[in-house]
Amino acid sequence: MRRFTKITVKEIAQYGCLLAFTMIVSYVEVLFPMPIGIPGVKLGLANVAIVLCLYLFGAFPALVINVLRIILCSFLFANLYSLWYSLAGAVLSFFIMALCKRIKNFSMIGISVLGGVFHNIGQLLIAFLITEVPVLMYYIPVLIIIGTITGFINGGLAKIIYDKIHKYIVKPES
Amino acid sequence: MKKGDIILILILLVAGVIGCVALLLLNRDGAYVAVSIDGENQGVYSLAKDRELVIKTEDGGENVFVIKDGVVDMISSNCPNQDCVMHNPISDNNESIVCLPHRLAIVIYNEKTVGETDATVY
Repeated sequence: MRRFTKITVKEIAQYGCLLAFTMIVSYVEVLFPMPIGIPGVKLGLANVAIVLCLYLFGAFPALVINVLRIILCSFLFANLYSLWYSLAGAVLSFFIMALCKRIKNFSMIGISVLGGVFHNIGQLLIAFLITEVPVLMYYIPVLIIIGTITGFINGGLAKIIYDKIHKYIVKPES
Repeated sequence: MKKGDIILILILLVAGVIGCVALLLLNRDGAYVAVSIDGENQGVYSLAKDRELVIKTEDGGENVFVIKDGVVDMISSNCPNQDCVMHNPISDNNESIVCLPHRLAIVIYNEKTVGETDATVY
Protein backbone atom coordinates (compact mmCIF):
# COMPACT_ATOMS: atom_id res chain seq x y z
CA MET A 1 0.00 0.00 0.00
CA ARG A 2 1.81 3.05 -1.18
CA ARG A 3 1.24 6.55 0.00
CA PHE A 4 -1.48 8.14 -2.05
CA THR A 5 -0.63 11.71 -1.22
CA LYS A 6 1.05 12.17 -4.57
CA ILE A 7 -1.81 10.82 -6.63
CA THR A 8 -2.05 12.60 -9.94
CA VAL A 9 -5.08 13.74 -11.87
CA LYS A 10 -4.32 11.20 -14.55
CA GLU A 11 -4.44 8.39 -12.02
CA ILE A 12 -7.70 9.65 -10.61
CA ALA A 13 -9.17 9.77 -14.09
CA GLN A 14 -8.01 6.21 -14.75
CA TYR A 15 -9.52 4.91 -11.53
CA GLY A 16 -12.74 6.74 -12.32
CA CYS A 17 -12.92 5.19 -15.76
CA LEU A 18 -12.31 1.73 -14.37
CA LEU A 19 -14.97 2.21 -11.72
CA ALA A 20 -17.48 3.42 -14.29
CA PHE A 21 -16.63 0.49 -16.54
CA THR A 22 -17.12 -2.04 -13.79
CA MET A 23 -20.42 -0.49 -12.73
CA ILE A 24 -21.80 -0.52 -16.24
CA VAL A 25 -20.70 -4.11 -16.73
CA SER A 26 -22.33 -5.13 -13.42
CA TYR A 27 -25.57 -3.57 -14.56
CA VAL A 28 -25.53 -4.92 -18.09
CA GLU A 29 -24.78 -8.52 -17.18
CA VAL A 30 -28.11 -8.74 -15.40
CA LEU A 31 -29.63 -8.58 -18.87
CA PHE A 32 -28.03 -11.92 -19.79
CA PRO A 33 -30.34 -14.61 -18.50
CA MET A 34 -28.26 -17.51 -17.32
CA PRO A 35 -29.82 -20.86 -18.20
CA ILE A 36 -29.06 -22.30 -14.78
CA GLY A 37 -31.60 -21.27 -12.19
CA ILE A 38 -29.39 -21.33 -9.14
CA PRO A 39 -28.98 -18.27 -6.92
CA GLY A 40 -25.85 -16.35 -7.57
CA VAL A 41 -25.07 -17.68 -11.02
CA LYS A 42 -23.88 -14.74 -13.02
CA LEU A 43 -21.31 -14.15 -15.73
CA GLY A 44 -19.40 -12.09 -13.22
CA LEU A 45 -18.13 -9.77 -15.93
CA ALA A 46 -17.29 -7.17 -13.31
CA ASN A 47 -14.41 -9.42 -12.36
CA VAL A 48 -12.80 -8.51 -15.67
CA ALA A 49 -12.32 -4.99 -14.35
CA ILE A 50 -11.18 -6.18 -10.93
CA VAL A 51 -8.54 -8.49 -12.38
CA LEU A 52 -7.48 -5.75 -14.76
CA CYS A 53 -7.13 -3.33 -11.88
CA LEU A 54 -5.14 -5.85 -9.87
CA TYR A 55 -2.61 -6.20 -12.64
CA LEU A 56 -2.54 -2.60 -13.74
CA PHE A 57 -2.57 -0.78 -10.43
CA GLY A 58 -2.15 -3.22 -7.60
CA ALA A 59 -4.17 -4.67 -4.76
CA PHE A 60 -5.20 -1.58 -2.83
CA PRO A 61 -6.76 0.36 -5.72
CA ALA A 62 -8.43 -2.85 -6.88
CA LEU A 63 -9.95 -3.39 -3.43
CA VAL A 64 -11.20 0.18 -3.20
CA ILE A 65 -12.72 0.09 -6.67
CA ASN A 66 -14.34 -3.28 -5.94
CA VAL A 67 -15.95 -2.11 -2.69
CA LEU A 68 -17.05 1.18 -4.22
CA ARG A 69 -18.58 -0.61 -7.16
CA ILE A 70 -20.62 -2.86 -4.90
CA ILE A 71 -21.82 -0.03 -2.68
CA LEU A 72 -22.74 2.18 -5.61
CA CYS A 73 -24.40 -0.57 -7.60
CA SER A 74 -26.44 -1.70 -4.63
CA PHE A 75 -27.68 1.81 -4.00
CA LEU A 76 -28.36 2.56 -7.64
CA PHE A 77 -29.63 -0.68 -9.08
CA ALA A 78 -30.61 -2.97 -6.27
CA ASN A 79 -31.27 -2.92 -2.56
CA LEU A 80 -29.48 -3.02 0.77
CA TYR A 81 -29.67 -6.81 1.02
CA SER A 82 -27.77 -7.31 -2.19
CA LEU A 83 -25.04 -5.07 -0.77
CA TRP A 84 -24.06 -7.58 1.90
CA TYR A 85 -24.40 -10.65 -0.28
CA SER A 86 -22.29 -9.15 -3.04
CA LEU A 87 -19.71 -7.96 -0.54
CA ALA A 88 -19.36 -11.44 0.94
CA GLY A 89 -18.53 -13.07 -2.35
CA ALA A 90 -16.44 -10.22 -3.64
CA VAL A 91 -14.29 -9.75 -0.54
CA LEU A 92 -13.45 -13.44 -0.24
CA SER A 93 -12.75 -13.66 -3.97
CA PHE A 94 -10.64 -10.53 -3.86
CA PHE A 95 -8.39 -11.64 -1.03
CA ILE A 96 -7.80 -15.01 -2.63
CA MET A 97 -6.92 -13.29 -5.89
CA ALA A 98 -4.61 -10.75 -4.27
CA LEU A 99 -2.81 -13.45 -2.29
CA CYS A 100 -2.45 -15.93 -5.15
CA LYS A 101 -1.27 -13.28 -7.56
CA ARG A 102 2.14 -13.58 -5.92
CA ILE A 103 2.40 -17.25 -6.92
CA LYS A 104 4.47 -17.27 -10.06
CA ASN A 105 2.76 -20.24 -11.64
CA PHE A 106 -0.50 -18.38 -12.11
CA SER A 107 -1.26 -15.90 -14.83
CA MET A 108 -4.19 -13.53 -15.10
CA ILE A 109 -6.43 -16.37 -16.24
CA GLY A 110 -5.68 -18.57 -13.24
CA ILE A 111 -6.24 -15.69 -10.86
CA SER A 112 -9.54 -14.92 -12.53
CA VAL A 113 -10.60 -18.57 -12.23
CA LEU A 114 -9.81 -18.49 -8.50
CA GLY A 115 -11.74 -15.25 -8.23
CA GLY A 116 -14.79 -16.69 -9.94
CA VAL A 117 -14.84 -19.87 -7.88
CA PHE A 118 -14.34 -18.12 -4.56
CA HIS A 119 -16.89 -15.47 -5.36
CA ASN A 120 -19.49 -18.19 -5.75
CA ILE A 121 -18.30 -20.02 -2.64
CA GLY A 122 -18.39 -16.78 -0.67
CA GLN A 123 -22.00 -16.18 -1.65
CA LEU A 124 -22.93 -19.75 -0.80
CA LEU A 125 -21.26 -19.33 2.58
CA ILE A 126 -23.25 -16.27 3.42
CA ALA A 127 -26.47 -17.97 2.33
CA PHE A 128 -25.52 -20.79 4.69
CA LEU A 129 -24.74 -18.41 7.54
CA ILE A 130 -28.09 -16.71 7.18
CA THR A 131 -30.35 -19.71 6.71
CA GLU A 132 -28.29 -22.25 8.72
CA VAL A 133 -29.18 -25.01 6.30
CA PRO A 134 -26.09 -27.17 5.76
CA VAL A 135 -27.58 -28.90 2.75
CA LEU A 136 -26.84 -25.78 0.70
CA MET A 137 -23.36 -27.24 0.35
CA TYR A 138 -25.00 -29.55 -2.18
CA TYR A 139 -24.43 -26.73 -4.66
CA ILE A 140 -20.67 -26.52 -4.22
CA PRO A 141 -19.71 -28.79 -7.16
CA VAL A 142 -21.94 -26.88 -9.59
CA LEU A 143 -20.65 -23.53 -8.36
CA ILE A 144 -17.06 -24.69 -8.71
CA ILE A 145 -17.65 -25.67 -12.32
CA ILE A 146 -19.49 -22.47 -13.16
CA GLY A 147 -16.95 -20.35 -11.30
CA THR A 148 -14.11 -21.99 -13.21
CA ILE A 149 -15.72 -21.46 -16.60
CA THR A 150 -16.78 -17.87 -15.99
CA GLY A 151 -13.41 -17.13 -14.37
CA PHE A 152 -11.68 -18.49 -17.44
CA ILE A 153 -13.76 -16.37 -19.79
CA ASN A 154 -13.34 -13.26 -17.66
CA GLY A 155 -9.60 -13.87 -17.39
CA GLY A 156 -9.33 -14.18 -21.14
CA LEU A 157 -11.21 -10.93 -21.63
CA ALA A 158 -9.08 -9.19 -19.03
CA LYS A 159 -5.92 -10.42 -20.73
CA ILE A 160 -7.09 -9.12 -24.10
CA ILE A 161 -7.88 -5.70 -22.65
CA TYR A 162 -4.70 -5.63 -20.58
CA ASP A 163 -2.50 -6.38 -23.59
CA LYS A 164 -4.06 -3.54 -25.49
CA ILE A 165 -4.09 -0.82 -22.89
CA HIS A 166 -1.27 -1.35 -20.42
CA LYS A 167 1.13 0.67 -22.53
CA TYR A 168 -1.04 3.74 -22.13
CA ILE A 169 -1.65 3.51 -18.42
CA VAL A 170 -0.04 6.13 -16.24
CA LYS A 171 1.68 4.22 -13.49
CA PRO A 172 1.59 5.52 -9.93
CA GLU A 173 4.86 7.10 -8.86
CA SER A 174 6.47 4.77 -6.37
CA MET B 1 -1.51 -19.02 -19.83
CA LYS B 2 0.89 -20.66 -17.45
CA LYS B 3 1.22 -24.24 -16.29
CA GLY B 4 -0.27 -23.44 -12.91
CA ASP B 5 -3.43 -22.12 -14.56
CA ILE B 6 -3.99 -25.30 -16.51
CA ILE B 7 -3.44 -27.52 -13.47
CA LEU B 8 -5.78 -25.37 -11.42
CA ILE B 9 -8.53 -25.42 -14.03
CA LEU B 10 -8.23 -29.17 -14.50
CA ILE B 11 -8.34 -29.86 -10.78
CA LEU B 12 -11.36 -27.63 -10.29
CA LEU B 13 -13.29 -29.05 -13.23
CA VAL B 14 -12.54 -32.63 -12.29
CA ALA B 15 -13.47 -32.03 -8.66
CA GLY B 16 -16.65 -30.26 -9.72
CA VAL B 17 -17.71 -32.96 -12.16
CA ILE B 18 -16.96 -35.76 -9.71
CA GLY B 19 -18.91 -33.92 -7.04
CA CYS B 20 -21.87 -33.40 -9.36
CA VAL B 21 -21.92 -36.98 -10.55
CA ALA B 22 -21.62 -38.29 -7.00
CA LEU B 23 -24.55 -36.16 -5.87
CA LEU B 24 -26.64 -37.18 -8.85
CA LEU B 25 -26.04 -40.86 -8.33
CA LEU B 26 -26.73 -40.87 -4.62
CA ASN B 27 -30.28 -40.61 -3.36
CA ARG B 28 -32.13 -38.59 -5.96
CA ASP B 29 -35.68 -39.05 -4.93
CA GLY B 30 -37.10 -36.41 -2.71
CA ALA B 31 -39.95 -37.16 -0.38
CA TYR B 32 -40.48 -34.13 1.82
CA VAL B 33 -39.85 -30.43 1.71
CA ALA B 34 -38.69 -28.86 4.97
CA VAL B 35 -39.24 -25.18 5.56
CA SER B 36 -36.94 -23.29 7.88
CA ILE B 37 -36.63 -19.66 8.90
CA ASP B 38 -33.38 -18.58 10.61
CA GLY B 39 -32.47 -22.23 10.79
CA GLU B 40 -35.56 -23.15 12.77
CA ASN B 41 -37.83 -25.78 11.34
CA GLN B 42 -41.24 -24.43 10.43
CA GLY B 43 -42.77 -27.54 9.02
CA VAL B 44 -42.13 -30.58 6.91
CA TYR B 45 -44.50 -31.32 4.07
CA SER B 46 -44.85 -34.42 1.98
CA LEU B 47 -44.27 -34.01 -1.73
CA ALA B 48 -46.96 -36.54 -2.45
CA LYS B 49 -49.75 -34.08 -1.75
CA ASP B 50 -50.29 -31.12 -4.08
CA ARG B 51 -50.83 -27.89 -2.26
CA GLU B 52 -49.98 -24.23 -2.05
CA LEU B 53 -48.27 -22.88 1.07
CA VAL B 54 -47.93 -19.36 2.32
CA ILE B 55 -45.04 -18.74 4.68
CA LYS B 56 -45.03 -15.55 6.71
CA THR B 57 -42.02 -14.27 8.57
CA GLU B 58 -42.22 -12.09 11.65
CA ASP B 59 -41.09 -8.93 9.91
CA GLY B 60 -43.81 -8.99 7.30
CA GLY B 61 -42.15 -11.20 4.76
CA GLU B 62 -44.40 -13.45 2.77
CA ASN B 63 -43.37 -16.27 0.45
CA VAL B 64 -45.69 -18.55 -1.46
CA PHE B 65 -44.62 -21.89 -2.79
CA VAL B 66 -46.45 -24.68 -4.50
CA ILE B 67 -46.08 -28.45 -4.34
CA LYS B 68 -47.42 -30.06 -7.48
CA ASP B 69 -46.65 -33.47 -8.99
CA GLY B 70 -43.72 -33.88 -6.65
CA VAL B 71 -42.11 -30.60 -7.71
CA VAL B 72 -41.69 -27.54 -5.50
CA ASP B 73 -41.65 -24.04 -6.90
CA MET B 74 -41.57 -20.64 -5.22
CA ILE B 75 -44.22 -18.64 -7.00
CA SER B 76 -44.24 -15.37 -5.22
CA SER B 77 -42.45 -13.38 -2.58
CA ASN B 78 -42.45 -9.83 -1.31
CA CYS B 79 -38.68 -9.74 -0.96
CA PRO B 80 -36.61 -7.12 -2.76
CA ASN B 81 -34.50 -9.34 -4.94
CA GLN B 82 -36.83 -12.12 -6.19
CA ASP B 83 -34.00 -14.63 -6.64
CA CYS B 84 -36.19 -17.17 -4.89
CA VAL B 85 -39.07 -16.72 -7.31
CA MET B 86 -36.81 -16.88 -10.36
CA HIS B 87 -35.19 -20.09 -9.14
CA ASN B 88 -36.08 -23.16 -11.16
CA PRO B 89 -38.52 -25.58 -9.55
CA ILE B 90 -36.86 -28.25 -7.42
CA SER B 91 -37.65 -31.91 -7.03
CA ASP B 92 -34.46 -33.79 -6.20
CA ASN B 93 -33.13 -34.69 -2.80
CA ASN B 94 -31.00 -31.96 -1.19
CA GLU B 95 -32.10 -29.28 -3.63
CA SER B 96 -33.23 -26.04 -2.07
CA ILE B 97 -34.73 -22.66 -2.74
CA VAL B 98 -33.56 -19.89 -0.50
CA CYS B 99 -34.96 -16.43 0.22
CA LEU B 100 -32.12 -14.63 1.96
CA PRO B 101 -33.87 -11.38 2.90
CA HIS B 102 -36.46 -13.49 4.71
CA ARG B 103 -33.84 -15.95 5.96
CA LEU B 104 -36.06 -18.66 4.55
CA ALA B 105 -34.95 -21.95 3.11
CA ILE B 106 -37.06 -24.73 1.67
CA VAL B 107 -35.14 -27.96 1.25
CA ILE B 108 -36.10 -31.32 -0.18
CA TYR B 109 -35.24 -34.41 1.85
CA ASN B 110 -36.04 -38.09 1.77
CA GLU B 111 -36.09 -40.74 4.48
CA LYS B 112 -32.33 -41.14 4.32
CA THR B 113 -31.41 -37.50 4.67
CA VAL B 114 -34.01 -36.16 7.01
CA GLY B 115 -32.22 -37.75 9.90
CA GLU B 116 -33.88 -38.51 13.16
CA THR B 117 -36.14 -35.55 13.45
CA ASP B 118 -39.44 -36.05 15.16
CA ALA B 119 -40.92 -33.38 12.99
CA THR B 120 -44.42 -34.24 12.01
CA VAL B 121 -44.94 -34.50 8.33
CA TYR B 122 -47.99 -32.77 7.00
